[in-house]
Formats: sequence, structure tokens, C-alpha cells
Amino acid sequence: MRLLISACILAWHGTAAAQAGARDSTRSTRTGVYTAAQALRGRDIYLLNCVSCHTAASHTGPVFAAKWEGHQLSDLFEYIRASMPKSAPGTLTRREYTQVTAYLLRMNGMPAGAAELPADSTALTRIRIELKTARDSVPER
Amino acid sequence: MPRFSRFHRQHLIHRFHRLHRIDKVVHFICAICVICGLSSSPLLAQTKPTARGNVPGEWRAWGGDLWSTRYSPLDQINARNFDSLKVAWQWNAGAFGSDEYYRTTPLYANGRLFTVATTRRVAMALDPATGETLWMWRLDEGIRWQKAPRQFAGRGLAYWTDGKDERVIVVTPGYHLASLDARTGIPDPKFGTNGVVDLMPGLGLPMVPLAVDDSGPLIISDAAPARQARPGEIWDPIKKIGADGTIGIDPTLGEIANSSPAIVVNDVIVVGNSSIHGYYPIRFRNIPGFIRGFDVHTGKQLWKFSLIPQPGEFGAETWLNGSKIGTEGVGKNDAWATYSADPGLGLVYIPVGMPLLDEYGGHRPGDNLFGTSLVALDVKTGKRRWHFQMVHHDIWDYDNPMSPNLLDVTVDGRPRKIIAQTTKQGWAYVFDRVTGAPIWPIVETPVLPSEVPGERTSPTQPVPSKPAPYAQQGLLETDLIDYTPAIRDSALKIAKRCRMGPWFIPASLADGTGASGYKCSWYAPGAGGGVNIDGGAAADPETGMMYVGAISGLSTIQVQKDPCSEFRYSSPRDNCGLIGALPPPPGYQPPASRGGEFEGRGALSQLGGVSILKPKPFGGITAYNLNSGDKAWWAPNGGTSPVTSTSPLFAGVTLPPAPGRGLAQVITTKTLVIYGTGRSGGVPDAEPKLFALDKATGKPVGAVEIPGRTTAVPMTFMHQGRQYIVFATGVGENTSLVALRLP
Repeated sequence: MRLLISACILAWHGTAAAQAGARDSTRSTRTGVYTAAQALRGRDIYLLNCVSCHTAASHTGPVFAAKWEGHQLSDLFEYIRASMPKSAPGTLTRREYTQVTAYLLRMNGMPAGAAELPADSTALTRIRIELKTARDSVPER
Repeated sequence: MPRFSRFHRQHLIHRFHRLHRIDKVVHFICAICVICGLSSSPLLAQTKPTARGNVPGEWRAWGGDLWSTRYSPLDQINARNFDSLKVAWQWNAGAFGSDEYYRTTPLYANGRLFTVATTRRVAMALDPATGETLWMWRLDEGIRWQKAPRQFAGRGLAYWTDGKDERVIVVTPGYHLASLDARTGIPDPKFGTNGVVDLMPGLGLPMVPLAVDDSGPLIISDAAPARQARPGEIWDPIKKIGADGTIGIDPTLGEIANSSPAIVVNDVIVVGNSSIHGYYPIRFRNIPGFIRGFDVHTGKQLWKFSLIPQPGEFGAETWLNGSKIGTEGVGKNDAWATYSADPGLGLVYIPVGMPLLDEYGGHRPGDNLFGTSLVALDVKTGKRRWHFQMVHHDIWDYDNPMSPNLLDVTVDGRPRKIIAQTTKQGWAYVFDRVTGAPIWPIVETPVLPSEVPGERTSPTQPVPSKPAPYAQQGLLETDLIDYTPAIRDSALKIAKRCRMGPWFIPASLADGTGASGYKCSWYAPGAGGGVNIDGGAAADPETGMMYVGAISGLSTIQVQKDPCSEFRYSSPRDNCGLIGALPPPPGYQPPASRGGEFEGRGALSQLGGVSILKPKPFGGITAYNLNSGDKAWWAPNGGTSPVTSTSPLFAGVTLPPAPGRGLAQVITTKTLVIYGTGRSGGVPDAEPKLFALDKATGKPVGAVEIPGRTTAVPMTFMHQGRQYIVFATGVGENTSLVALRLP
């Protein structure tokens, strides 16, 4: 019985450690997950392809938070890639969609960092959208 | 092939900045010249305008001429020397303010280049040889601008001359009409009030003092418009809210603005309007489209034509619930594209957009004239001469997006005056432009009914028998890739996830509660066309050829209830939380995924990263011989790129290359079709280029690197013995006009 309890405790510790490891490998969008240059290129893509149908208010501030807070960044990336632009979805390159994603993060007050946001969906699953302690987003055009 | 080195680019930028500094001095000197009654303008060209309203070698209307041919007889730039084109100058529009993407095609008339720039739509004249700014004019429109639905530079301007006086005609984002002296930029004091006509009062709608509660622009969903000012309300300059003294149409009726230039025909300025986009509206009422004529000399309103016929007018019966302004479901039918005209016939041709809401028409049963129609109006009286409705009861966002092309051709041995309307539907509809009779049969064809509650789709739609389409139509099993039986089976499995059909497939209910159970319908062409305003066609009056720049693709369409919109159904979207949206129902929770909006439109049409559509010569540039209605040739937009897939399904299969994406922006000259790839067009990640094709064969004959992708249709002209090609490029603060010429 004692052996069984020890085994259970060890197993619990193992699972908890694995979970902690998973948490550790997940970054927050508050930690600088894109570069300023990437967001700047994303702004051009946004102005060329997005702004004629959208307004900043529909993907910034509380509207954006209600839809995306707590999601993996890959959710947002894949959503945009699969659905946009409305009239020609999927027609931008992965790099362009990544740049637009970076710009959306910038629009929502997420800080830029030293490393570029990857265009790889698997890597984006390890980034979580966290807005709550970010400064109030300033809609940009 | 010439390349612009980093040094060359820096040199150009430096040179521009130097020019810009010089500009200020030139502007000052110009102002002095104007004050002294001097003018440095050249003498008016002695060459008589052609029947198309253009002087050969000039570009006096948005479409090159009033026939919207985008044709120039010039041939100094040709297949032998196209590759040696150099940037003559680059004019920094961004220096005057920001923009979205720069969507303007300039005009050239009598030795000057005219353009608009920035979200304020500043009108400018430039020296065509150097790009120096000669004059500029803008209007401070206060709240009218702040809440304008179309805040951008616009497509361009109109030009008029009687051989003595010259005018540049501007329609502002806040919906004013200005007539400027083309030599000086000074508003014509005999026109309207100090050169400006307020376009709102003449519509006959109630005008009120305006106020705003927020400092932002109108949200693209008709939320957060201006409101009627309270008595005594004043402007708060710190918060930028309140009433600033601006007067406008009662905002409870909707919003109105302008995105395309007027057209001047036989001394009548013809002006329309645009509305808020119909993508995600909240209100099911809005202001209709109107076309009006104004005296070019005085600005007096001569006539008004309602694009939603009002009770008692022809076509009102096509609005089964009534068409009166303010009625539920009534709004738009705005003619937001550019127009064409035949001055000899005294007719102006108006391509009309669709009624309010892009993908659901349950609030407006009936055919909804003059939605998605081509309307020919007598330019003297504004009376309808003929019309043709391309889409009855449009629920596909198939606005007529482009000025039609006029040509004189010979069909079956008989000279015909024709007009060809290119459309989002992927067809060119061709008519006798005198009578409106189709040149080739356009057949009312049974189409699929809608399964959406309250939606009464038209049982038939007109389908042209000729010319053949330039874009994918709907989705049938025969359209699917079939390189191997396994690929075909997999493609069919994907295809069957959404409602299929040959064309005009109505949207499905996103929750799958329709009779067929589909959650989506195939949508091809989609809302962007086919042809759309960035692309369109050039027509060659010498040969009767037409060159269509279009896109082709496959998307899906579905509708569902937006809990914060007045509409029963709309394109899946959650407007909740936006200023001006309806409050969400009690307990409402936004969808947990996908952002509460539509699902993977594009991803659905891919198999291992490969489109399930068989490659076809669609999109790109399609050449038609409009003497016969036959296709002559097809060219991809900017070339092709290889297609590969890591899916085992495609192992051993050599996939054909993919044509360049986007809307090619086409003009034609004596020997060439010249085009830019458009704002996101061409081969992905390729350096931006301007291309030339042999107009007879479609074979590539030249390509030259340019500082940025074209963002509007180019234009060409001859100035002081040298041919120029000028085009707009850029976004935001980095917008510019680029002029190319031979060394």
C-alpha cells in the first residue's frame, strides 16, 4: 500500500512537472513576440488588403479582447489565413499573414521584441494572447 | 532588365526631398503670379478632342477618355524600348498627409498633370516633366469629413474645357463639389458658392447641424455616425467632440459620401455617391444612391435620378415592401464606381451597386431596381433611356464595379455602337449602347433558391451566352482537380461540404439548419470579382479588342444572425461591443473560437495546400475580340510561380504553376498592353514591376522594376515630345506618383 501511495505521489509530481514545463514553454504576447519592423510591414499589408472592409475598432480594445483573450496566437493566425481577405481568402503568403498578425498585436498594445514572430503555426501554438495587463490599445489606421 | 539599386533609390528619395523643398518656393511664386494675373500655363492645345472626349496623347478622363477605353495612340514607348524605362520623378503624396492605399489615376490635359491625394482628397496640379507641385486645394469639412464613409484620396478628378477656360472638378469625401481653375487651382467664383457646391442639400433630404460624441471616424459597419446637434451645443477642442457648425443630412437616415470622380459630358457634370460598405451593417435603413447633373459653368443642379426609384417612379414596383427612403431594407444602390459617356449620343452610362446588405435581402423582397444594373441616362434631362439589371435581388455583393467600355465595332458585318460592362460575376455584358439591346443573347436562366428564412431569391438570373467568362463560375464536379482518382475523390469530398452549382449559389445558414443541411455555399466569383474597381478593362478603338484585368478564385458564403445588428441575417459577424451596435441579448456569449465571424473561407477550397479547382485561363488578363465576342488570348498577372505539396496524395504528380494573384491594372497603347500587378498582385514576394504585352498576341515583351506595386490603374501621355507612364503606389504616409519615361 505504501508503495502504491509513493507511486501515485511520484506520478502526480511527474504530471505536475510536465504541466509546469508546458506552461514554461508558452510565452505571452506581452513578452515581445514580434519585431517592430515586422509590424510595420504588417501595417502596409493591412492598409492594402484589410482596411477597406474593416475598421480598427472591430479588432482592437474590448472587441478584440472578448474574442481572443487567452487564445493561442495560432488560433488568430489560422483564422486570418483561412478567412481573409474576405474576397480572396488564403491568397496572401504565410509571411504576409504573419506580418498582419504582428501588426494586430501592435494595434492592441502588445510590445515589440527582438525576435520575429514565426510563420509556423506550431510555433504560434506556444504563444498565448494575453491582453489584460497591457496598456489600453490605441486604434491605429 | 533594369533594376533600381539602393543608391538609385536613395538618390531618388533625396532628389524628391530637394524637389519638395523647391515646391514651397514654387508654390509661393505661383501664388504671386496668380495674384498679378500672370499664368505660366501653356496655350490650350489646338488639337480638337476626338468623339471620345480626349485629345490624342492626353488623358482627360479617369478612363483615358469619356468612353473609358484607357487607350492611347502613343507608341514612343514600345516593345523595343520598354525595358529601358527609367523613373523620371517620384512625387511624394504622403508629404501632404496619410491615405489608405493610393487608388488614384491622374489626368493629363493641356500640359498639366492633375491628381488627388490623402484622406482629405487634396486636389493638386503637377508639372508633368518634373513632378513639381504647381498648386493644391483642399476643403476643411469638419464632421462631414470625420464621419465620411470613404476617407481616402478617391479614384481621381474630372477635367473640362471649352477651349478657352479649363476646370478641374473635385468631389470631396464630405460630399462637396468644387470647380477649380486648372491653371491656378483657384475655385471658380461663378460656380456654386465661391467655387463649391454642397452636394447634400440638393438631394431633398432633411439637413441638420451635426455633432459627434467620439473623435474617431465612421466605423465601417455604419456604427458611430454623427448625430443631430443639440440646441446651443458647441465644439470641445480638447476632446474633439460636440458640434462644430457643420450642416449635413440627418444622420438618422444614414451616411453618404463619394469615392469616384464625376464625369463631365456636354457641359454637364454628372455626380453620384457612395454609401457605407455593406459588409457588416447594423442598421437596415440607409440613404439610396442618386445621380445628378450640374451645370459646369454655374454649379446649378439640373436634374436628379433616384437609383432606388421612389413611389410612383419607374421600377418602384420591384420593391415589394416599398421603396420610400426610411423603409426597412431600403438603402444603397449607390453608383460608387467610375462612369462612362458618349457625348455624341448625349448619354451617360452608370454602373450601379447593389442594395443594402451584401448577403441577405430578406428585408427588401423584389428585384430591387436599379441595383446591380447598368443605367443609360440622357445627360441633358437625367431621364432614363435604357437599363439592364445584371443581378436580380442581388445577395452576392455583385455591385457593378467599373465604368463600362465603349467601342464601335462590326458584328456579323454590321457596324455597331457597343458598350461592354465588365462585372464581378466574371462576365462582360455587351449591349448596343443606343438601345440597350444585348449584342449576343443574355438568357434568363433558372438558378438555385435560397434556404434562408425570409429570403426570396429571383428564380432566374441573366447569363450572357457570349463572351465566355474570365473567372470561375460557381463549382461543379467537372471543375475539380483529377490528376489521380484519389485526388479527384478527395477534392469531391471537400467540394460536397458546401452547396454546389453552376452560378449564383445563395448563401447557406452557418448553423446548417437549412433544408439541405449545408453550412456554406461555394462562392465564385466572390465579392471581389471577377472584375473590381482596382482592375477592369481597356478597350482598343482601333481593333475592337478588350483587355480585362480580373481575378478568379473560390470562396464560400454563409449567413447567420449577428445578435447586435438589426438585420435578421448577415455575413457571420459579431458587431457586439462596437459603438452604435445594438446591445447583445441577455446572457449572450461571443463564440469561443474563430473570433465570432465566418469560418475558413479559403481553407475549405484547398487540398494539401493545392486549390481543388482545375487550373483554367481565368483571372489575369483576358483579351476579347468584341467584333466576334471570342476570346483572343490570356496572360497571368505578372507571370506564374511553382506549386508544390507535401501531401502524399500529390506524390509523383507534377502540378501546374499558379498564375500571379490580384487584379491586373491594364491600359493599352498603339502596340502594347501595359499593366501593373495591383496592390497585392503578381507573383508573391516578387519585386514590383510594370509589364508590357504585345496587344495582338498577349506575349510578354517587357518588364521594368518600379519603386512599388501599382495601387491604381496607370495612365500615359505625351508631354514636350516625351511619352510618360504615371501610376500611383504606396499606402499610409508612403504614397506617391511615379513617372516613367525613356532615358
